[in-house]
Amino acid sequence: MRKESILLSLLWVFLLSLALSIVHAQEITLQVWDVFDPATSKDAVEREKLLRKFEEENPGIKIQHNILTYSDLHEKLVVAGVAGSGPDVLHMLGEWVPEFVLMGIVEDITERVNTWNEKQFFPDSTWKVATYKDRIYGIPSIASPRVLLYREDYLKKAGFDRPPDTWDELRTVAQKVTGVVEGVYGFGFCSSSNAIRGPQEFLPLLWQTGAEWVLEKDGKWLPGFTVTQAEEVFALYDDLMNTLKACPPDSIGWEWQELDNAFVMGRIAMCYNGSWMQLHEEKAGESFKHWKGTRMPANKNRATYFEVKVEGIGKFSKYKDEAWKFLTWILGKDQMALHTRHDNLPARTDVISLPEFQEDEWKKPFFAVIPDGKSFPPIPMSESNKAMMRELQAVLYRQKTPAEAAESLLAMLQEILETINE
Amino acid sequence: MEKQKLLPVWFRVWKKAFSPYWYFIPLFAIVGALMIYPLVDGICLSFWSKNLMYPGKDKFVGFANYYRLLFEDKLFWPAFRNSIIFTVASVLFEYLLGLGSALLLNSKHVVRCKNLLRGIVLLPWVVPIAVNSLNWRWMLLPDYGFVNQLLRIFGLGSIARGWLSDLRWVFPTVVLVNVWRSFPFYTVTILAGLTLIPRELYEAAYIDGANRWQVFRYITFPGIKGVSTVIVVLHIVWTFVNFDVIYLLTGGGPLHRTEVLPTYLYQQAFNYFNVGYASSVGTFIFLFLIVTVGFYFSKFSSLYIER
Amino acid sequence: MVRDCYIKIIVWCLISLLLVFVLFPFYWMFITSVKDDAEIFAYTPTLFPRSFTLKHYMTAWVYGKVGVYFKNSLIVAGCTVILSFLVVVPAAFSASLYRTSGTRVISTFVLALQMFPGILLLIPLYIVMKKYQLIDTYLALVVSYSTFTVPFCLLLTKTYFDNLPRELYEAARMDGCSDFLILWKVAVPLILPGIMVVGLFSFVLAWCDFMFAKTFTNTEVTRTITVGLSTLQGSWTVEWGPLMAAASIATVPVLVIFSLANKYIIEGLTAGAVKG
Repeated sequence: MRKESILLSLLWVFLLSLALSIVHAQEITLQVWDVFDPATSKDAVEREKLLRKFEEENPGIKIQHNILTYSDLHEKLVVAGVAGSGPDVLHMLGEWVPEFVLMGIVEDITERVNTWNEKQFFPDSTWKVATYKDRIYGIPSIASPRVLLYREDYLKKAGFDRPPDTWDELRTVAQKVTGVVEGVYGFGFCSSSNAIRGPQEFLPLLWQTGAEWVLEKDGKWLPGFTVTQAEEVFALYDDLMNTLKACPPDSIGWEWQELDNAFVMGRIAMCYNGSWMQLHEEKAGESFKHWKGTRMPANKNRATYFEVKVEGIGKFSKYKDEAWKFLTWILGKDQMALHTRHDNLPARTDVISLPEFQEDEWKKPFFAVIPDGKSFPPIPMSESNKAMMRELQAVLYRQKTPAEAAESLLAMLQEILETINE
Repeated sequence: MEKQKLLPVWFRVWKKAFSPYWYFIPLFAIVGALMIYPLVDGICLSFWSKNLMYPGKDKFVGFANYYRLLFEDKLFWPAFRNSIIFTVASVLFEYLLGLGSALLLNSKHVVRCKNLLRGIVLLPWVVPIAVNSLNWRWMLLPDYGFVNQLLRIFGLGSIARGWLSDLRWVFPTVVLVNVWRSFPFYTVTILAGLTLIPRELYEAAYIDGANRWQVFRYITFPGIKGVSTVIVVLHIVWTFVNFDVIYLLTGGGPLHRTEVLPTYLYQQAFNYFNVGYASSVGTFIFLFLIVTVGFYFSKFSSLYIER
Repeated sequence: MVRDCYIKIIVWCLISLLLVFVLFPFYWMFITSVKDDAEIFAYTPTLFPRSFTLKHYMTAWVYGKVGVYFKNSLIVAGCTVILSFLVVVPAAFSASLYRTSGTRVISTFVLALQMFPGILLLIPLYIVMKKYQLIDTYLALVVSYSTFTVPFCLLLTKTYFDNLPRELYEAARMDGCSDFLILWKVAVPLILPGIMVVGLFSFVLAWCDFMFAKTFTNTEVTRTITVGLSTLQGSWTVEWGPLMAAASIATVPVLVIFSLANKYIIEGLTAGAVKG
């Protein structure tokens, strides 16, 4: 048995030596979890530099930067948060705010924000995204609306001097542009089962019919649309895909990676997209100068998706004051002007009004549509998003008529809202 | 030896009965410290109604989750069926391909670059699945994907299609990607088993006039039976609980055509945060595998006793 | 001899088919990594790169820090192998030597641990790791990987031990060896090549994991290559060039390691078989 104990003690020595590799830092370490990877985005390079600068200016505070993609970040925040830990500073998509607030993993910073003298520089529409039931849980950092991104050269070739401005024009233009250059389709959209970009395109269309996804009445959430309104949206998709054949025939199930790829490659002439497409400037080569943005075609209303990302403080952070200091610094005017310059758009109005932002041709259409912008309703949206995409796929595969899909979407939403209202 | 005689009788008896288990102590240390709590926690949660978004509202509901799962949930049974087909098809093709490629690489005709070839075969397994899936998604695109382009070059343009959007083809495609990714594991394990079979056995058999099939049936196959059982059993389990291949390729869609239990579970746990309900799906998978694979495994344990 | 020649041709044809099947995604990966940006997104993708650039490799190396992650992955996977050995070899030996119902129950139990979907274990495992203060350490990864390498290694190692003739043990016992000595001096050297195969697999299993790696690492001090690669997918755009370059960087050394390891293993296995 002596030999066994040697073996065992060897094991423990091995384990302990590994355990000793944990460095016990003397100074304050702020954990920052976000998505800004310098290898993939110019803004992230700037941001990385700013993190180092913050460390220089604040000796005694170290920043640990943890980069993940959005879906991984979301999963990790949930796992860590439910286990009672997490980062000091976290980056969130606007639609995560209600979920995280309900889970209790993000800190209520209402008081801090209300006494912050720079609050006024952020538009109310962005604060709305960071707010849940009148409490504020984060500071808006990136705020970018969607535009109709189109290839001017393709449209010209098909005889259109201006982009479509109504749904009917969208139908006509998409149909006419299809095939104007071999293999080019008029329009492209997302409809993946993972439901990331898809709902962000679906909801604006629904808003354009004058509807809402949900409405609050006496503290209860009710569906905000009628069957006819949803039917109209489904019918538009159905027309583009099946009747007019103006979309790539096998594009059902596309997620943003496929859609953006297709546009950069010049395979589709129009799509709803955001400011990050500028990152593709080099890849698109010559054709980039034909990329134009404009307001989304309207139906009854003008509406577009206003994507606001917020940065908050983790509920389990030990250094909330330092985290707040960091947040207000990195989202201050001078810093934001640096790290939202290339592929993101700033939330602060005083940054937007800077000449280098105002004179940027690419950014102009985006700033112009901000008044049309709307964000997701402040309820947990995952289930709704999946439901939208499921019904949309049923329409695209012609397993349901738009009317049937609209009806079952409404029924599903009612079911979802029952749990939420409880 | 001297020392041992001095030990009291009860200790020697106890030691004798216990001696096989001394060797399991490191195993127990790891498993006990790490796995027992999560496992028990997971099973217990399946009897609770628990949603992460409503922390104060956990409620013990007994078998209600299971009732809902088995009798009310319209998505459960199709997902279960898909899971079984996915597992059986994947493991079957992986095994055939793995066995075939192992036999090929073990052939006496392959002398040059033997080790390099064996290294190459392992490659699909080494690239992280996240990158692999993204790469496959691009390659499988309808118009300008690499796969369809290759097909057109070889004059097979008529079968080119949107592999991940065609309702009939999406499932076989997902299986193919999974097979592509996992079969190297079989190849290398079986190769190791093949190398262990003494050459003399083959020579003796050929002298006795056995044909190729007989040699395979009576010499090769028995030689790799043990390893084969281990990898097949493990892969049945791993494939049945695996979610990332499908999740990253199709997200369970289109129209739930590729929805399997693990993707369904993931959706419940991390999109809807119904961890109670998700745990009951997990426990169902757990029980199902214990019953089916356990049956196989008990046969397989007896295999050891014989030998 | 003529027949042999035909067989040889058939064998090599089949091997080429196999290689095409295995390698064509890698071909795509590699040519994408050396194309320039405009060509990656050319209207019709090119099967043979017209441009050649190492720019993406620079990006992946400098910004993507592939080198650091690679080192971390090596350490973690290497430690997993050692830990798996320490845990598995004695247990497999015991299960093979004393075929009592107890040892069989344990093997079955260890297998059963794999049957609960790992996603559900994430949250409780995180709680356990937090309790032991292991978050963001190599150790967290090593022990969590051992939970899925151990069952596989245990079963496989046991088959190797089972292959040894039992008379060997009896003889050693007659010579007065304790069981531990039998394990250490007799059994392990004989199945060493088999153990190397097991080690190889624990290595690959640990190398490929993504789920635990992303959950238990917080900084680049511990981040493994799978997590490092995943962020190269980008959050706004897929940067195909650097992504594919990083994937290529991650693949090549592994190919070399496996080719060398294979050489050792196969030679060792053959030698062991002769001896046994």
